[in-house]
Amino acid sequence: MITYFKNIWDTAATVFEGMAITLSYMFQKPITVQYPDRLKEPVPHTLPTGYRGRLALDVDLCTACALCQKACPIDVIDMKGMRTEGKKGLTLIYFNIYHGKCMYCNLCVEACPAEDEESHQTALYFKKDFEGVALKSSDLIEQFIPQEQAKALFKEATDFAEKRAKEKKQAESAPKPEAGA
Amino acid sequence: MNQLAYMIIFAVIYLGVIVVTAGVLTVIERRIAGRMQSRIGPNRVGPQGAVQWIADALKALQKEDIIPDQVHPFLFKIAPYLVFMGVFLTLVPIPFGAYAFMEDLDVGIYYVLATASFVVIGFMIGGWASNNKWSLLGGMRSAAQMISYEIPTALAVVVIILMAGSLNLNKIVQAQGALPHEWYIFRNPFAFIAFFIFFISALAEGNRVPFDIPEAESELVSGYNTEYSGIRFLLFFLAEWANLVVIGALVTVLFFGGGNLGYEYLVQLPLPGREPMKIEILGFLWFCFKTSIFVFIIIWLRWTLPRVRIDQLMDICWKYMVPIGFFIVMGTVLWVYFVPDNSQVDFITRIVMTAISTWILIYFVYRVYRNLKITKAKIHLNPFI
Amino acid sequence: MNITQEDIRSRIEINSISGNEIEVNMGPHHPSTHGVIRFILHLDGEIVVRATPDVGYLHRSIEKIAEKLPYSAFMPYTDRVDYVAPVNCNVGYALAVETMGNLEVPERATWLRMLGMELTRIASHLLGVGALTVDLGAYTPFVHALREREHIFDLMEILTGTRMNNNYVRLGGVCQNVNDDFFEKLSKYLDHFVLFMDEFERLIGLNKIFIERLKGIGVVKAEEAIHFSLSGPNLRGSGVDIDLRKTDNYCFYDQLDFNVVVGKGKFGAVGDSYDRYDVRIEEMKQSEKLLRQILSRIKDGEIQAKVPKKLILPEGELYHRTEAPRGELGFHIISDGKNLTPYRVKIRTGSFTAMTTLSDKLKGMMVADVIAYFASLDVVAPEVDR
Repeated sequence: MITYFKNIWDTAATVFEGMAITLSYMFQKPITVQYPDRLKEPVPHTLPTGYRGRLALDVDLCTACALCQKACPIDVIDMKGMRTEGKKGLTLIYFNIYHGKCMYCNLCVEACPAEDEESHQTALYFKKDFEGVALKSSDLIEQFIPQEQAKALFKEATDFAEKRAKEKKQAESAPKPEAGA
Repeated sequence: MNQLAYMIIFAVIYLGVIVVTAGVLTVIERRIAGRMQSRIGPNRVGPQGAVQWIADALKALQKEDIIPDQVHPFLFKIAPYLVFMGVFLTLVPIPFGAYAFMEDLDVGIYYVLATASFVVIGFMIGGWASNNKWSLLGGMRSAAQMISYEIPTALAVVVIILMAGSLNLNKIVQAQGALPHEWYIFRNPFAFIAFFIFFISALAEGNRVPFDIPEAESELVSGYNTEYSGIRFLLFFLAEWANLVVIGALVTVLFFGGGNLGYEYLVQLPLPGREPMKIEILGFLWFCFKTSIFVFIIIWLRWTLPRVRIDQLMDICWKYMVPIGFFIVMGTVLWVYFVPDNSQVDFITRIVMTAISTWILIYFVYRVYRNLKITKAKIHLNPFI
Repeated sequence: MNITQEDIRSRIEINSISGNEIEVNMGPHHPSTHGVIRFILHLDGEIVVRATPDVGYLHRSIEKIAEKLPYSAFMPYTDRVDYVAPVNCNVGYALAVETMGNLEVPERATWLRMLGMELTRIASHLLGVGALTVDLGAYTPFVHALREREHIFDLMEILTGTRMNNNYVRLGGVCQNVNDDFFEKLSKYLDHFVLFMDEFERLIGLNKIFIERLKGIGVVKAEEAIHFSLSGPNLRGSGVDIDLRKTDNYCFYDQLDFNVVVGKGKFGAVGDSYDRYDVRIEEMKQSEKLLRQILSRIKDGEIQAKVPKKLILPEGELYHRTEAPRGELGFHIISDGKNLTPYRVKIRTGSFTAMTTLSDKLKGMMVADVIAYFASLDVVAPEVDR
């Protein structure tokens, strides 16, 4: 008998308390923001440093070492570096990132050795940009070296490679100096 | 002939008004739900989201009318209309204010209870005709729930009938007064309990949380609603929200002296072919205000409480509501016989009950304030964000 | 007269031959956050006569992919083993490889790993408890729990750079350092979190309808829990006080002081669904205590030790387990000593073993209780299917 009335009292008391809590939420400000047009400041300004937005490449800093391509577990980065005439080290021929596959795991950015001296930002870095909408999935492939320039560089690099191969062959087939003469 | 024309015109106006009210209620519910969950509800379509329901209705109208294979076509199509009809018929005798009713029925409250049973047929037919085991389960549960909860509803209403001496809703309203201590709920302690019995049973009748087993994800599927899409689905939901208005209106009329202001400020509207229509605006607005408070309470309960299980629901009905209902009916019979109106005992009871209820309300407001203080939240009073 | 589940079960054995059952599919689409898991239920009216879970809808061959990737490149995949608590899975894998390869981890890196683990433990329990309340019909506590998760995500964004699937841990340390204003923000958040937990309890934890829905449902006694190999909050909810953070002593948990939360049968039998819910709530409070202790002990230092670029683990196998929010998360690595890639990586998750209790426990329950029991086990589909 007592449990009968205790049940009724318990239900009423806890419902009362629950209703008081929900009503108290009506007098608080909602925490949602009305994106994108009714914001106080644009969202990228509120993001912390080290935020992993979309990938970007600083073409001038890149040494075309391909460490990022090796580090990526899902083959997001497609790049090639070859030797060209007059430049020490490799030249970047093309660098494509398929943003649609990237999972922002940070393995490529960590692997990049080239760094800007003042800002310590690597050649391959994360921007704070997170809005990446495209209408076709082929729009999601970003080519950091435009097509024509890449073709020209590729032609230049292959010409240089052929020239070097020819020079090497001539050096091998040329008469060797006699030992002791 | 004129009479028939007026009947049709008034029926169409009435349907239009109720549909618009039910539609706007959906938006208001979503805004309230949003604020209770620390978010904003829909506020982009129209000013503060007021036109969202038209957008939803237009979207549903454009959908393909999918009728699943192997259903019973006639029953499948007619089920939403039965539910719709069941809800809309109940609003006929309810006096929204002094003279704003569709028809002054002498069997007022009895008619309301009878037509509210139409929805049971609608749900059962909808559940069975859908050719889906989950819908069948949902429909059967819904039928059991609604039929069981009609008994406590009727018992609570009997308390009011005993106190008023008439089934006519107008006379019930006139027997109450304008001030709180003249409302039926504070007249005697049995009517106070009857209010809670009626409110909870009406929630169960209307399939609202905590008793919304048939409709809101009847354990992961949508119960009798599963196979309905487009405008048929909307008819079910329109009926549910219109039912909220019915519950609010009934509670106001029966327990809170709906629309009664103690005086009448009449406006006569001359109409060709019949006697001038009497309109009383202030009473109507006062009635609407009281109804909206109860609609707000129902919405508020939905977003606070979890659902009960079907056997617990039956337990609540048959082990708690019905015995307490019988107890209050017997108590009211004895009270009405022994305590005459306007005597000392009656007056003291009324004042004491009003004082206790006011104290409970103030304590509730204090709890709300205390919640805000405990969580160190900032108080922000603007309802439009 | 109280009809217990045992009475119903004994009745079922007789009735199920009569052919009155209907077979329904609680299909792969669930309107809740458990993921894609399917049950085939045979119902006699409202009561479940037989239940068969059907898993595999989220299988992504993570273990097979591990056989083709070097050890350091597999780290982002471990995020996705349990995407609700990614740092825990990261740390589990990193500890397994480091133990097998005898790699060193600097001190600050271990403290930062523990910080990430406890924060994601709180986030994961919030989601588990929130999903339980939304399955029971209370929509508001779920949204409040998600709101708190958003605050934790903001903190994880500063700590690791992303909100979910952080890929924070590397072999030999962590990948990103934080400065002191992160610790201030964390401390302020913890102050707010304590108040939120109290409010959450008052809103739904002590609600009579909620208690009545959960008490006495799916009682798993202590011997049964050990027999089924349950772990984590499911095991502790049945009264067995085994917590891998105390028994296995990995990272620096032996330097910290916290209680092992055990279910006590607050409103029903020990080991019912309310106990499992309660254990998760109390564990969140213990995690908050742990976080404060970590904040006071963390020192400056390096965050990643030097690890050979081409790491080859010695031949042999190792099983290392950690306490993930859903139970014991174990990584069994078999290496053949010659390749850069492992021979086999087997991931043992707590949710998968929790699923094995279902065909026994669901007999005799009503359909509504199936939902309540399943939600109280806090199963997520990615852990079940990997």
